Amino acid sequence: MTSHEFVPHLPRFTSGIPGLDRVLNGGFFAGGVYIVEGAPGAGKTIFANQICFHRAKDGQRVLYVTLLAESHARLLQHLQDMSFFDAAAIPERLTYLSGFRMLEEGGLRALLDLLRKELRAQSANLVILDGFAAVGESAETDREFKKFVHELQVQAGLGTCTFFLLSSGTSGEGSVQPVHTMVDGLVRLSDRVFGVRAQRELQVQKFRGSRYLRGLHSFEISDEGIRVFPRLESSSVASGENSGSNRLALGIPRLDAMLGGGLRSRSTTMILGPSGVGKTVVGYRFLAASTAKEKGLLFSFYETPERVLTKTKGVGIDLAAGYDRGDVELAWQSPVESTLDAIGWRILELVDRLGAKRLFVDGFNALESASAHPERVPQFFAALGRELQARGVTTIYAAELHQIFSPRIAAPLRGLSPLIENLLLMRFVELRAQLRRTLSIIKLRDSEFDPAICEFCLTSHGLDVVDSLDGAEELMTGVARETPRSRRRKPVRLKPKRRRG
Amino acid sequence: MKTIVIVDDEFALADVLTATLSDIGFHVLSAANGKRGLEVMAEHPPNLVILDYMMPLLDGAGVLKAMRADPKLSAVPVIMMSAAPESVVRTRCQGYVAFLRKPFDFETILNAVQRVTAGP
Repeated sequence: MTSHEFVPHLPRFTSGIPGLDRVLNGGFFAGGVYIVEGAPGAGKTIFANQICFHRAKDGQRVLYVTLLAESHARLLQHLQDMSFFDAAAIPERLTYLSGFRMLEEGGLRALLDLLRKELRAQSANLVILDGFAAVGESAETDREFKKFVHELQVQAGLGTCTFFLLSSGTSGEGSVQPVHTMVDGLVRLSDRVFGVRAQRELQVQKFRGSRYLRGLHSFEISDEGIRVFPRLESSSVASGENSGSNRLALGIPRLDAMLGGGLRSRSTTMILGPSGVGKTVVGYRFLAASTAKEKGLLFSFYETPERVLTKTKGVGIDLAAGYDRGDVELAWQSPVESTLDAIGWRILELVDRLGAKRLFVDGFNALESASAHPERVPQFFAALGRELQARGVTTIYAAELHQIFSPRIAAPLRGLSPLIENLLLMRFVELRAQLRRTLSIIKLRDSEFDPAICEFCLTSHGLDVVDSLDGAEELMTGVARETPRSRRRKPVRLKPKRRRG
Repeated sequence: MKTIVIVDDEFALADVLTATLSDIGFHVLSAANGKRGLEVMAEHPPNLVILDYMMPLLDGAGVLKAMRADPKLSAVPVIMMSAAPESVVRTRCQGYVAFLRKPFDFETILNAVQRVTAGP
């Protein structure tokens, strides 16, 4: 006899809340009793109603029983603009009832009787009890309260009906109440404030019968309802892969030569430099080399697609052709009010949808500052990097250095150095009362590279790497000076070399 | 004094309506579910019933059907109310004199009550 013959597996059902089923490793178990806890405004009502309408859409019968909660009319008014709302489901597949009077007049026993009768009369598969704290307040003892939950569990098991008990929670977050020990699962919703920003977070604190993604996961509420963004490092299943042996040209011949032919496929590169130095132009050139077989994605925090096309045209980079062919996609992300995981999942979704192999993320600093928990940034980037590598994506991040001229380089790489395989540094250098731009390769993992510090120019046809600044020293300080020999023999070149052909 | 029975599981609305209609001279009784509503009507024959559609134990459609089958209640006018639109309610309920979509303002319910109870 196999274990499957001995005890059949409990069926699961999907929640209809994007991202949540990934956290739950496949959805809730039918016949379970789950507590959903959170302070007022945390999103419990939307959470429950989204599940209700999803189940009703699948032809299931759902009962939504309120205790001390907002009126049904007001509740439906608030929900009707959500995309999951379906007026046609009410009341035949989704019925809203109030059980408060029964609870007031007959106590927990009367409420249990009401639930039992309605459950049978309506053949309900799902029951929401909104205002569960009122049940606890009506119970004279903890034992009576636990008996109530126990009877719900028996009813759930007999009818394969699932119960969700929505509670504002009467004790502090993280506390364990006696009733928590009895239910099959506990989901906590919270709305935390970090500085002036707020971030919604979901935590599955208990989930019987299955593994699940532990810890905090951010979620958002929009007109689409709730969407959960599983913490990327907790849900990433991709194993780390080495970067490939073939190389992807950046489309800047001199720089590609310095790199030994280009960046290794599936590698992660960071371009560091102050604002305006030309990091983005390098990224645009990288994307302009995209083809139907090697599609490119720009994920920008600063430039809208329209502005990108105008800007690239202005510097002689033909990104529009690739965009028109569908080989390049331009995505813009607001740098404010979004969470790290929401951004990470959006990048992965766009990569998957396009089948992108070249990715340029313009605005590493914005991505980094989206995290409400800075200490997890390295783990997040490691997970994102693994996912992108597994998809065969070669990634370039543009990161801003705040100091324009400084002997110190404060790179935004705390804990990230091992994750960045290639590092390019672009700087402004003052030399002989002129502002010059330099580019150097700091790191190119597992590859030899040209260590020269080269001068480059931004021109109407893009970016030209000119030559190494042989005649100058202390370039890395930002304020260079000519070497004595060069002062005597050869001036430092100022104009770009004419390109051959 | 005319008697009104309010049958609604949502206690807050039922309580406010009971108090308000009592203030303007009606004798008002309320019940929190359809089954209890029919019991109240049997004990206190009403001149008007204000009936919610979605309720536990016996819903508005069930109450209306039972009333129409009862010679003592068959002629009693009913104002139906629901958070669901009337197009949904009408598929299961016939024979009510007015429909009020929740949430409604006080003037709306007052006008409906006065119109229905204005007869001899």
